[in-house]
Order: sequence, then structure tokens, then C-alpha cells
Amino acid sequence: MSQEAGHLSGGAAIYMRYPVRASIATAGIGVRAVTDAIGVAPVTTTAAEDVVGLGIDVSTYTSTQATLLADTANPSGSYSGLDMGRMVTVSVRPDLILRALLCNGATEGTALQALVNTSASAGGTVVSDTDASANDMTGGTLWCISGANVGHARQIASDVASTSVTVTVPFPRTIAVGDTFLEVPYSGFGTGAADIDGSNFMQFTTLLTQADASIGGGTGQEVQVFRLELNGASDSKVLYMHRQHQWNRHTVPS
Amino acid sequence: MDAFVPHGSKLGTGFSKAEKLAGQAIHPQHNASKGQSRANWISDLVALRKVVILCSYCRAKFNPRQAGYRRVYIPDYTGKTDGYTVNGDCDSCRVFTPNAGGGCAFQPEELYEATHIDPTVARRQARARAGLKSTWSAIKS
Repeated sequence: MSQEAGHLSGGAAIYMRYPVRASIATAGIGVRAVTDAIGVAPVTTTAAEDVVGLGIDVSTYTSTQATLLADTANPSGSYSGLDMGRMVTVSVRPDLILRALLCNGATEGTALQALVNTSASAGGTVVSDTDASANDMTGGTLWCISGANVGHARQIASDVASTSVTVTVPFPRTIAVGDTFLEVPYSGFGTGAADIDGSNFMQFTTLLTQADASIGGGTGQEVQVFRLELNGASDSKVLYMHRQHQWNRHTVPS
Repeated sequence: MDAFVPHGSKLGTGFSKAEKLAGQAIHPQHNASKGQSRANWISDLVALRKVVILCSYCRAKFNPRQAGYRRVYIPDYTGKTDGYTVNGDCDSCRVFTPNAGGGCAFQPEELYEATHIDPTVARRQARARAGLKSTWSAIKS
């Protein structure tokens, strides 16, 4: 689930309610309205164009009148206000900063893959391990969780699939054999161009609740990475904003 | 989209996606003249486990603990608000909350962790990152 972590411009959130045109099974996932059809639906793992905001509660879509009538707790049984079908509450500000847990794959709760260095790097620029991602992590972030460089992070300059990860700005100390690192395809820097695209794209896990950090950099839906909370393999998070927000006018209005 | 004509737009000019979306927004729909009470609207929201939005005047009438709700907190980096301010249409008086002293939102307890940060946990983590002791640890040492 993505949590509301603040707004870039500060101030209070704005909540609005919209009818749903597809079930929203989990609170904390983005919702969008991509066509002229009435209502909002969840984003997908790779697409979030025309996102409306973050869904704050859940809603099961139905077009059955009897089911809608049964929704109300009103003892008189009157149709007390839910005249547009079932609805979801949405946090709609385009500058909303969201926070999602980093996950190693499409399955929720998978810890990030630890890279245990197998070849010393005196210059502090190369981490070698066959567990390095087979995907392109260039433009992402590498950080040390065990060893002399613990607590330091660097942007990934290049990588060799399942072999090594290289940074340009060296870590301050020698990378020794056995030092442990984590890598993700996300970064707070870049323009979206090849190899500096870690800041512009993100992919969700199957249930849309976490960020899939096993994908290659520059793939997924359009977001702007705001910050990374780099902790351990199971508790690191990415803070991001939606770039193609409905009210951002990022795309041509239609 | 014929059923949802946004307010303030001119006929013939067409509507942007954002305008169409604004036209779909659901506002609190209780209306005393139709025999609908604001209490029914809020009790429906509670029964459906939906977020409840209230202005500063109506906020005191709602007991979140009794309903299993929790007040929403969103960090505000700028300090413009205390983090507990959420604006929208008040579910009781239907006024847009900035015009009624600011609003707040209440979320079902079971959904809170999925979408919002617990301010106590956030404070503890921030202090840990900064290498500061907790108040209790400082007292003990």
C-alpha cells in the first residue's frame, strides 16, 4: 500500500469521492479515470496515466440495484445518498508524495536481494556478485548495509547482468569481500533519458501495494521519485509522485 | 457523459478530462427537505467503512473511537498545518471545509496503516535516524 507522506507544496490534503467503475480491493492504491466512462478504476502495475489520486478506502463495484440498496444502514431502507453507485474516497492533490515499500519482484513482501561482494574493489566502485540483477539497473541506487561503507549510497553508472554493479563516484572506503549491498532501479536523480531514468519510472507489485524493485530502470508507470528511504532488505521505501496526474495537465487535455 | 455536465463550463466548448472528472465528484447527498438526515449519511459511511470528513464545527459531534475510526495524519513539511488537516466537503453540514475553519478526516482503524503514517512511529524513526535517544531512554540513562 502506498501511504500519504506529505505534499510537495505543503498544506492540507483534499479528499473527494468518486463513483467506481471497477472494484478497488485495497486501500492505498492509485485510482484513475482514463476514458469517458463514468467512475474511477485502479491503476495497473505498469500504467498510471490520468491518475486521479490515492484511493483511501475500498469499494466493490456493482450495478445491481438490490445490492446498492442493501448498502445503507438506514433502518428505513431509504436510498440515503449513494445515488451514483458505490464510491471511493480519493486524495486528489497532484503534488501528493506517496511512500511504498520496496519489494524484490511482483509478489508482495519479497525482501530485496542482498549482493555479497566476491571481489575486492580498492577504488570502491565495483560490487561483484552473481546475485546482481539480470535487469538493467543503470540509473538506480546502490547502498551498503554491511562493511566499511555502511550507510553510504551511490547512483549506479553501469552493471553487468548477474555479475557486477559499478558506480562512478566511488564509495569512501575499499569494498571488501563479504561486504553486503542492496540495489534498486530507482533514484532521486535523472532526466528520464537512457541510463539516467531511475527517477522517472516505477512498477507496482501484482496487488499494487508495493514497488517492484526487481525491474529494469526506466520501465513501469510514469512517476517522479522524490526520495528513497534506504534501510534493510525488508524495510526500505521509495517516495514518489505521479507525473501523469489528471489535474497536472501533463498530457494534452481531451 | 451527458449526465455529468461540469459547472461553470460553456456549452459547445467541450470539457477536459479534469472537468469531466470534477463533474463526477460525489458530494454529501443528504437533504433535509427530502427527509434525509445528516446522521443517516454519516451512519451509512460508517457502516460501509468509508472515510468521514468533517469541518471544525461538526468535528466534535463525531466520536471516532466509538465507530472504530482514527483521525488522519499526513506530514506537512512546510508547517502550514499540524498534519491533521484534511479538506473536502463536510459530511455533516456539506460546507467545503476551508470555509468552515478547516477540516479533518477519519479513517477506519483497519485501513489506517495501509494509507497513512502513524505520527508516533514516524517520530520514533526520525529520532532513531538522527541518532537521538527516545525520551524514555534519556530518562533511564
